[in-house]
Amino acid sequence: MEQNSPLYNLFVRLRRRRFLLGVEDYFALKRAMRLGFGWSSRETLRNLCCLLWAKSNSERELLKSLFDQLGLPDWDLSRDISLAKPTTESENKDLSGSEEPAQEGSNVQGLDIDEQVPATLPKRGLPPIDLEGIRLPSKSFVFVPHFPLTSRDVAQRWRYVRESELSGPLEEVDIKATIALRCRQGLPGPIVLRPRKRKTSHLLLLVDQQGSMAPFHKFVEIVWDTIKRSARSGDVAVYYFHDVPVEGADDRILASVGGQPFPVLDDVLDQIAPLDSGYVYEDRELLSPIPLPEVLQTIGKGANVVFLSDAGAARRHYDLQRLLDTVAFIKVLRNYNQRCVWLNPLPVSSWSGTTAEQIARYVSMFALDSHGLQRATTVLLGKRRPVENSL
Amino acid sequence: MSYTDNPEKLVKGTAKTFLASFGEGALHLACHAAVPVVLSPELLHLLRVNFFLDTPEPLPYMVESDILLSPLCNEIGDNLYEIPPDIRDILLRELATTPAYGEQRIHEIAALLFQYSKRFSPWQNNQTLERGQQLTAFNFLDSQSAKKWLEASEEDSHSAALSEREWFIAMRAELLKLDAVFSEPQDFKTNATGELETPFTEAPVHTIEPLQFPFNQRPFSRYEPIEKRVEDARVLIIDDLLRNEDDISDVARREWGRNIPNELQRERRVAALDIETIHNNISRLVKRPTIHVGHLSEIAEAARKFRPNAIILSGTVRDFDFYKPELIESFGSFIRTTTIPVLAIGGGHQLVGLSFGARVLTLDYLEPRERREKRQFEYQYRFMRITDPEDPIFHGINDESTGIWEDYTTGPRIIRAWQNHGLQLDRVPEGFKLLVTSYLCRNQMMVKRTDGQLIYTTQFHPEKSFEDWNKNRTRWEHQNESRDGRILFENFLIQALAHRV
Repeated sequence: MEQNSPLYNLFVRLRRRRFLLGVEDYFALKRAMRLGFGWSSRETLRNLCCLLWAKSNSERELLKSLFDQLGLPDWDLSRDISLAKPTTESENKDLSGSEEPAQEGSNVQGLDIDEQVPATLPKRGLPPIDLEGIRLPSKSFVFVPHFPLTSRDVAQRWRYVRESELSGPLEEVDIKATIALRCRQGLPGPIVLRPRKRKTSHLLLLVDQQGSMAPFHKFVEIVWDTIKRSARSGDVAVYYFHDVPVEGADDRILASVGGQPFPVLDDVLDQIAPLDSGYVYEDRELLSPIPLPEVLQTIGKGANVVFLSDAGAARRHYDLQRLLDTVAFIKVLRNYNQRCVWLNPLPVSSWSGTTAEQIARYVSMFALDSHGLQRATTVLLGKRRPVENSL
Repeated sequence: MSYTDNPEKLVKGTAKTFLASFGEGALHLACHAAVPVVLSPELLHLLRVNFFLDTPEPLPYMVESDILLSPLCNEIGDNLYEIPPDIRDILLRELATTPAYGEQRIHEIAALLFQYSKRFSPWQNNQTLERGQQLTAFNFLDSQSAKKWLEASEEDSHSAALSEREWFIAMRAELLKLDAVFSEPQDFKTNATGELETPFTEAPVHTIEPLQFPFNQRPFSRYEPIEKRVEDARVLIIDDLLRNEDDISDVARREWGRNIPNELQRERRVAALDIETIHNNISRLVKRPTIHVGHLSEIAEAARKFRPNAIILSGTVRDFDFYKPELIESFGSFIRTTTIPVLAIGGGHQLVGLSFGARVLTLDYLEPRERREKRQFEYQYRFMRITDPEDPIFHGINDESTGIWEDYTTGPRIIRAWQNHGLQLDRVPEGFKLLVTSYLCRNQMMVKRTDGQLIYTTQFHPEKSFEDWNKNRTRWEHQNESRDGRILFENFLIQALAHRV
C-alpha cells in the first residue's frame, strides 16, 4: 500500500508545504529507484529525493528535515560495494537488515554538515552551555519558514506586473525610423538606434511596521524583498509607516456619523479632503522619516502603489479615525497614481467588523496568499478594479 | 467577584477567553510557546511548523498573530514577547498533562529551542537572554545537569558584573519555579464519563511569588536598580516647543504657508512625548514630587507663582528664527537673571546659549536658515568625553557599585547618552564652563555657577536615557542603553535642592 510507504508519506508532507509536485514526480522517484539509484545508503536516498523534488536551497533543507523525521534507519552499502561487486542477493539482504547499527563512517558526512553550521560563539561573561552527554529527542526539526507565500510564488506572480518601456542606452536598430530617414534624405544615411525594450514596473511599496504587524514582519519582508529583487534597480521604492502614513485628517466631519456602533464614512466621503502631510520612513526601525509629498513627487504619476498592512484586522479593532486618515491618503494617491492595491497578511475571513473591512470598500484589498496575489497583480495590470467606491 | 478582585480568577479567565476566541488548536500552540522564557514571532512560527502542520487539522498561519497579539502575551521589546508568569505556569502545566504531549513533547520543544538558539543565534546581541533561553531548554532536557551548570557557573562569576549576578539569581529562581510548576498536583481531570474536562476550570495557581525573567518587568531601568534618593522636589517643566500661531515668526509663516496647522500639530505631538518623558523621570527619582508644566512664553510667571526648586527646559524641534522674537527675548531676560537651578536639555541648551551670546549653527557651521533640509544629524547613543570630572554632576559616574554593565564605564571621563540634534552652539558663552565634549559637537554640556546661578545645559538628552526601556522602538522611543542619563538627572536634582543663593 502506497499510503504506508515512508516515501509516499514524505511526498504528501511536501505537497502540504506547497512543493510543486505531481504524481509524475512521485513516479519519477520510483523509476529512479527501480534503476538502482538511492539504495546504497540513507544519505543517497535522501539526496535522490532532493535531486528530484527540491528546487531551491530552502526546499532542500526542508526536505532533508522532513526526510529525517521519517525515522528510516541508517544503512551503508558502500563498504560492501568497495570490497566486492554487489549482487542482487546482497543488496536485498542489506536493505532488509537495516536494523543493524549504523556504521561509524555513515555519519561522517552528517557530522561535517553540522560542523559547518554557524554556531553562537561564547562571549565574555556568561559561560556557554554544552549539551554533550545529554540525551536528546530523536526528532529532527524544520527551520525553514512556512508562510502562505514563498519567495518563488511571489517572483513567479510578480513578473507579470511589468510593462514594456524603452530605456537605457541606444543599442537597438530602429528600422522604421531608419527607413523614414533614408526616404526623407534620399541617401543612405546613418542607422537610427533606439533604447532596448525592457520590462519594467514603477512601484511604490508602503509597508506597515511594528505594533500589530510585528508578527508578520518576516513574511512581509519576504514579499517586498522578492518584489524588489525581481524589479530593476530604482523601479521599486519601499517605504515604511506605522498604522497609517498620514495622520490628522479633519475629524470634525465625523460628528455627523457618530452615534452609531460602527459608523461608516459613506455620508461624508465627499467632505474628506486629500491629506498628504505625513511621513514615511526609509528604514524598518522607523528612524529616518521622509515627507510623503517628497516620496510621491519622486515616484511620479502613474506608478503603482502597493500597501502591505493588516489594516487593523490583526487586533480585530474598528478605528474610525484610522479609516478616515486612510481614506484621506488614498484620495491623494488617486491624484498621483492610477492603480493601488492593498495586500493584507490576514485572510479575508478575519477582516469582518474591523477597519480592514471598511478600507477594502475603497481600495482593492487582497489576502496575502497565492490567490490574493494573483488578483492583486490583475488589478495592477489594469484589468479589474473590484472596489465599492473608488473615491 | 470580579476578575480584578481575584488574580487567580483573572489568570484563568484570560486563558479561557483565549480558548473561546481562538479554539483549542491555538491554545495548544500557546502551551508550546510557554516553554521558552521569552517568545519571538520566528520562534512561535517554528513551533507551529514543527508541531502543528502535520496534525489532522493543521493550524493556519494567522494563529501566530492571534497568540502574540492576545492578552496571553505582552510585547516587551523589539520582536520579543513574554507570556505573563502566572499564565505561563498554567500553560506549561497543561502541556505536561495533556496525554498527546506530555514529557516527550516538552523535551522536543526544548531541543528545538536549543538548536534554534545555537544554529541561528537570534539573540546574539543579548547574551543574558540567549543564555536564559538555552538554560531553560537545558533544564527541560535534564534538570539536574542544568542546575549543576548554573551552580558551577555562578561559582566562577564572583567578579562578574552586577547584571550577570542578577541573571544568576533570577535564573535560579526560574528553575525552582519550573520545578514547583511541575511538582504541583495536576489539574488535568476526567469526568465521570472519562472525557477530558475543559482546561483551566480547576487549575490551581502556584503560590510562589512570580519572578520574571531578568530585567523584564521592573518599574525601573533594566540595567540597574533605581532607588528614590530624593525626598521632595518642586520641579517646573518648561515646554520649549511652539504651541500656536501666536508663537511663530514671520519666517515660519512664510516657509510653512498653508501647512501651519499641521506643523504646529507636529510640535504639539513632540511636546507631549518630551514632557511626558521628563515628567516620568522626575517621578521615578523623587519620592514626593510636585510637578508643574508651563510654556516657554510664561516661564517667568510660572516660576514666580510655583516657586520651584528646579526648572527643566525641554528640547525643541524648530530653528529659533521660527519663534517669535519676543518669545526668545522674554526668555533671555528671565534666564539671565534667575537664581532657580535650571537643567536645559537639547534645544533648551541652545536657547540658553543664545540668551548668553552664543550662536546656534548647524553641525557643519552654517546658519540654520542656510540649510533647513538634509542637515547633518547626530542621532543615536554616542560616547562623549567629560572635560571636568570633578563637577558634582558626575558624582557616581565611575562608581562600580551602582551597577556597571559595559566596559566603557570603567574608563575615565567617558559618558554615553542619547543624541538627536542637527544644531549646536558655536562656543561656550561667557560665565559658563564646558563639562562634556565630543568630536562632532564641541559643546555637549556646560554649567554656569556665577552670579548665584546654577544652570546646567546638555546638548544630548539625559532624560531619554532611561525612560523608554520597555517601549517599542520608534523614532521617538528606543531601548535604554546607558545608565549615565539617569545619574546626571538625579545629580542635578540633588544639587538643585542644595543650591542656596
